[in-house]
Amino acid sequence: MIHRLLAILICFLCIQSSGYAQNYSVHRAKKIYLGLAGGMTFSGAHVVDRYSVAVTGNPENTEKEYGPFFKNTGALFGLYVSYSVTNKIAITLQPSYQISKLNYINAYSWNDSVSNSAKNIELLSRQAIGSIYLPISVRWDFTTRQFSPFIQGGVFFDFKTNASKTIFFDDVIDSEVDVDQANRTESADISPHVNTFNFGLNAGLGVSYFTNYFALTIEGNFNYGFRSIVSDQNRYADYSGFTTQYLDVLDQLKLYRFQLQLSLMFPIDNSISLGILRKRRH
Amino acid sequence: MRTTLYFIFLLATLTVLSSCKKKTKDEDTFIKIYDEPDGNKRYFPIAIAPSSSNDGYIVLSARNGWNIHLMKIDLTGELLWKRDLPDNYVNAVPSIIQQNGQNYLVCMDAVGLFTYLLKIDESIQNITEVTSFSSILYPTYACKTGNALYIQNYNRTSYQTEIHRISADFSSIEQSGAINILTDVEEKIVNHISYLGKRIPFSVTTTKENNYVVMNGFNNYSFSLIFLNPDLTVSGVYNGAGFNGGVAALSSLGSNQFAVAKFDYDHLYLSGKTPLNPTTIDITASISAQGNPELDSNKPVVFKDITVNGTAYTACLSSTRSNQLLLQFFEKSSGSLAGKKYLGKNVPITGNDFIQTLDEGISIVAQVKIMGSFDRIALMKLSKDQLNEIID
Repeated sequence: MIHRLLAILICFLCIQSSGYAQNYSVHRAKKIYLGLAGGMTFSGAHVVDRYSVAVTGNPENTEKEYGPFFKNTGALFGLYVSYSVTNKIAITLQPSYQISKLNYINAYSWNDSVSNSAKNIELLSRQAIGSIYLPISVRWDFTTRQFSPFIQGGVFFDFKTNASKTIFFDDVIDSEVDVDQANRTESADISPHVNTFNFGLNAGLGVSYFTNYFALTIEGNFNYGFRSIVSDQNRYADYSGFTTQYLDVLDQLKLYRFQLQLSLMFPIDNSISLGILRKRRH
Repeated sequence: MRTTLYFIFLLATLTVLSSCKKKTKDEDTFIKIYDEPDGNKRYFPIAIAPSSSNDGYIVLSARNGWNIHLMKIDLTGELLWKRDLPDNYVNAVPSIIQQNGQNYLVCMDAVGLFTYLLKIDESIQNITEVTSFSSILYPTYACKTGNALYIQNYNRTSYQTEIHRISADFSSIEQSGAINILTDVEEKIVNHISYLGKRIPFSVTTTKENNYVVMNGFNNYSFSLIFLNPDLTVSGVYNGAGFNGGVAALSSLGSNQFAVAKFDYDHLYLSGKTPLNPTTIDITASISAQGNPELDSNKPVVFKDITVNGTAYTACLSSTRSNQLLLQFFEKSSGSLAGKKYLGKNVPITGNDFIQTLDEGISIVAQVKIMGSFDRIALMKLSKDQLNEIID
């Protein structure tokens, strides 16, 4: 592991030093870049209102316990489009298909003193929401060098395409369910339970490496959706069949995500020589 | 650049427009299942009514057989209070009586078998005893129409189905009638009140014109639909097929037209509008109705008048063999089906009663077996908008 990290660091330093050694500056003003992007998402839920099907007289008994942010991993892939207004400022549009995942656990317990039996059930609910994600950002590069760190910020629009849910369950209440060994339901479509449209703010930072013919970008972005993602009207409609069978109903949530992505971009230009990299004069 | 700005403006406009959506309130639609960790307890809800202060609902249930459980819930389905009645009060009949803004229930003494009339006092979250009728044993149904309270019961000594009209102040019996069964059905009655096996669809109602009392009960070696004159003498009868066939539910539409559900062994038949002759002697098999093989004849059927978007319908709640509730709406004028909706999925469920709520929705009370193990009370609330979508 240490050797691998050392190898990556050495490569990074070599590439950066070669950039400095060649002494190029990046002139991408008025240039359009088009490329591909892919990466991972980590999703989290901001609980706005809690709902439950089971009424026990003690609301805490039915509250859901949401999984940590870093365990809700999804994926994204899509396009990268940017228009450089100046050498340092660009407007970017990154339409992508994104999968956001959310998990929560809750548990129920009954005791029958007549037949001397107890029944416990612990339920892990996994939701996966697929959407077309459309962020529009303004990007500010700190330098005009080949290696260019940047920050960006803007708005995003999110259009849900599909949503599904699977419940894993076991009979030991210990705040964890081993998905490899637990029983599970079939994956149910919960699209009618999830609102179609969301929007919010996004911000991020990253670093790009520019050549004359392509650019490579690693970036991390954080976004927060302003709209609640669960349909209030359809909350209890039980399209999944889980409402009465597993006493399951979605809380009202707002979604936030952290995205880690790698992009490969190509400048679009009709001239023979792109002239993006030019020798520095000083 | 200009194109980009136009695109952003279009998206912003779509954002604002899509945000303008009618907000759903918590009391509009919900499903609640009233659970508790005691696995011993089994509940069978039998009636729901608006609370006396119109700030929620009263749900009457049977607990562990013939014991009685009361609870009050608010408009969002949250539990306000619940009460298990003392063990001497048993066998609550499946109706909540409303008079002068108060709710009452009719039940039986566990030892003496005589009838109590209890007031549901929400201020003390308990019941108070109003009257007891020592001559009325084995109460099977009670109904208040207009100013008259009717109590139906089984007389185990004379082998008769009896019906009594109670005075307006609930203090005494004004008028009584009796129908000969000619055989002892006490075992059937005991199984019915103990919730062993199929519940018998006893009922009492009146015609819309209030010129006949219509009673569903034992008569002449069968389970029959009996028309009674206002003095509680027999006017007409539709005899059931022994004890294996008869009317499961009924609602008067006026002019001798009725919405009817009838059963014949394990078949259930429904009609949104069919004529019945209050002065005839006939058989229930002759009542015109359409069979529906998906419906479970062993589970209750309930008819009630419902208004959707200003139009009156006859709503029918029944349970299917595939663990769903079926809510159907029939046109009052023609009796034709105007719309239907299936509710519930994947769990054993029995629909028992429903009411129209003040916000023009419907609240349905049902028994569900959660986790395949425990009989619990469930409340399903449908909003006014959902009812509009059901009607074609």
